[in-house]
Amino acid sequence: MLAFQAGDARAFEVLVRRHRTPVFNFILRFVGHRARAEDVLQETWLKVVRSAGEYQAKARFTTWVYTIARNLCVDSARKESYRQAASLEAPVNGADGDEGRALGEALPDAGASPERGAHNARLRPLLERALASLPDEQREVFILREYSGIPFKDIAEVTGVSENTVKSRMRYALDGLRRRLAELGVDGDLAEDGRTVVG
Amino acid sequence: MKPQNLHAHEDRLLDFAYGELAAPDAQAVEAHLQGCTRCTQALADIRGVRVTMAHLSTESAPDAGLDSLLAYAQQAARRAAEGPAPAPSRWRRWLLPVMGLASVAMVGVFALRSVAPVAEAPLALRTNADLSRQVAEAVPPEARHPTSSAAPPAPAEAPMAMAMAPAPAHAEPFDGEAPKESYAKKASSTRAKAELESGRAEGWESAGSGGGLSGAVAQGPRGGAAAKSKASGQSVSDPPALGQKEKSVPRKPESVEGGALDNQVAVAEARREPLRLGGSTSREEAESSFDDLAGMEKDTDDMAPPPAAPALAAEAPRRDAAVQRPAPSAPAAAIPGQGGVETKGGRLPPTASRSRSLPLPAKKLDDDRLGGAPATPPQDADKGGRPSSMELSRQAQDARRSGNRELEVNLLRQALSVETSGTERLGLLNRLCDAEFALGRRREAQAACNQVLSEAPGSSAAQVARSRLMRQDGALEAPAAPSQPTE
Repeated sequence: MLAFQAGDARAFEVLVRRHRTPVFNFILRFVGHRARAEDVLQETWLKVVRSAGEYQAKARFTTWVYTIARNLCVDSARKESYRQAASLEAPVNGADGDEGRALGEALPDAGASPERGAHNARLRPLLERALASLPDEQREVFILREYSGIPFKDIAEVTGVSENTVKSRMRYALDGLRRRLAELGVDGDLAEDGRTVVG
Repeated sequence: MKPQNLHAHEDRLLDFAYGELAAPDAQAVEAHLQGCTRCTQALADIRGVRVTMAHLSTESAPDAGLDSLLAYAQQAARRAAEGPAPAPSRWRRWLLPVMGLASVAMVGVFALRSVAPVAEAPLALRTNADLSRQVAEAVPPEARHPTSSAAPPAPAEAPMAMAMAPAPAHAEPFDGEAPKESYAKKASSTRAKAELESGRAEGWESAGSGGGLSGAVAQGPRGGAAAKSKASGQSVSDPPALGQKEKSVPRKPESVEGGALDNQVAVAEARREPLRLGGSTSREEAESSFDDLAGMEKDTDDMAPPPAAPALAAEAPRRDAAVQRPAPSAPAAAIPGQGGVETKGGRLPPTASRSRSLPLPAKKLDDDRLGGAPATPPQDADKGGRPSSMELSRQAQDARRSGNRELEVNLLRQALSVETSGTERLGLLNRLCDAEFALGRRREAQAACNQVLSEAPGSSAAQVARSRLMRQDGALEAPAAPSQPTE
């Protein structure tokens, strides 16, 4: 990032290619909507370019870029809450009174092998539903730690809370996921075998 | 295992599960886990969730917008390499407001200047006046003195000036004269310089409206003169209409009336000068300066409304003829204290610089009246810069105003003892004559008047002297038939 500040455009390209996918996955799992996640991702990197002059070497670039992404995700989620529009990921109530399934579950997972696609088609919605069921503050901590690999100390910096608070949220998130996955009939063994309880 | 140790390890299980514990701490936790089923179960739950959620496949970031993002970043990097854009400096940030304020100030100044509604009229008046004065200066004395016909304008000026004091200010002349002050600010550079040198500018600028009012008062008689001119059926000139009068100036050398107008303009200009001085003394200045020009005619007419110039032009020769009979040329020695006197009798403004600028038209008028015979060039008379003579004349005027005619006589005699030009000397002699008559010393008065007649018999001052002698002798009651003034 310092090289980009000095005018090296290729340094920025390196940064983008290194962090683009993890940042995108964080955004996608935070907002739960691919199209909005793509918009937030582009906006995140544009803001990185615009705010390059404000970057200080004392902060890790990862922490800095995730802070930007997280703030944009919060703004996007706030706007979305005002929109009151049905989302593909929004759960619909089934006829039997269950919570129902997200509309995205009915769509085929194109681009995957038949076995892998079938496995993902069954497991991924469950995992996404379990993740989406977490409160935002727990979900963001879990995503940052589990998928982005951000240490708790840095997560505390990104989210603006103390490290103990982050760990507490993490424990709550793990407990919630475990309960939710159990409710959904998903456990480690089922996941390993590709079996789901959903049905 | 103590409960607190158990809780301590549970708190560290999260860090242990995510590999954030240091090696010694991790070994300690592992050792604890071997003997603690609760912590082992807790760790198993954490790992079970992690394993399950790890099946959530990583989504690849879209390529859409990547090129544009990189291009944008490249552009930004190029700008960064060129150096930071010059931030708008402080003076640039202040430039716009300052320019705005300056514009507003300029508009305000112009607005204030344009607010003065009288600023335009006096410009034309003054311009015409300057033009007429220049023309008067340019005209050779021969052209301005068509023999005897040049004399009448002099009395025509005298009554006008004499009527200044008593006549009320009329709206008509006031409108024309009051803006004269504002015009002075727009005067030509030459004139402004002259006024600046004389220190007069600050005088009448500081006078403010006083000058205008005094000018109005002084201009009052002009309206009276106009009325009288109209009453007498004379249509040659319209005194209030200065512009018209001055328009006729170029025709001055062509006819007798033109010469009269020339003098009239010159006198008007001479009278206007003290008016511009403003202040409460402008009226007095007007009177006194006119005395310099026309002697003591003020007394002869005794504040009567001034006749128009043509009327006086016809009237003056009659007086002239009547006076000439009883007025033999008197020896110069008849006037006490006059032996070998070269006087500068002009009643001039207090300062020498004023004398340079103000009496110029007056001297030309005197030159006209005298036919140019004894008069020294105006420049010489002025450049003499003898403030003592002027001061004496002014003091004499003050003494006259205060009613101390004896003192006036003394001062006039002292002024006559100083070297003066012919015209000024004639004016002083006329004033002396008047003062002596006022004191009842007829012989001294006649001597003074005869001195005027002998020195410049064809001049306007001589006419005034004749008039005075005639009046004192009672000849005024039966004026002689008009005749051409003797040369």
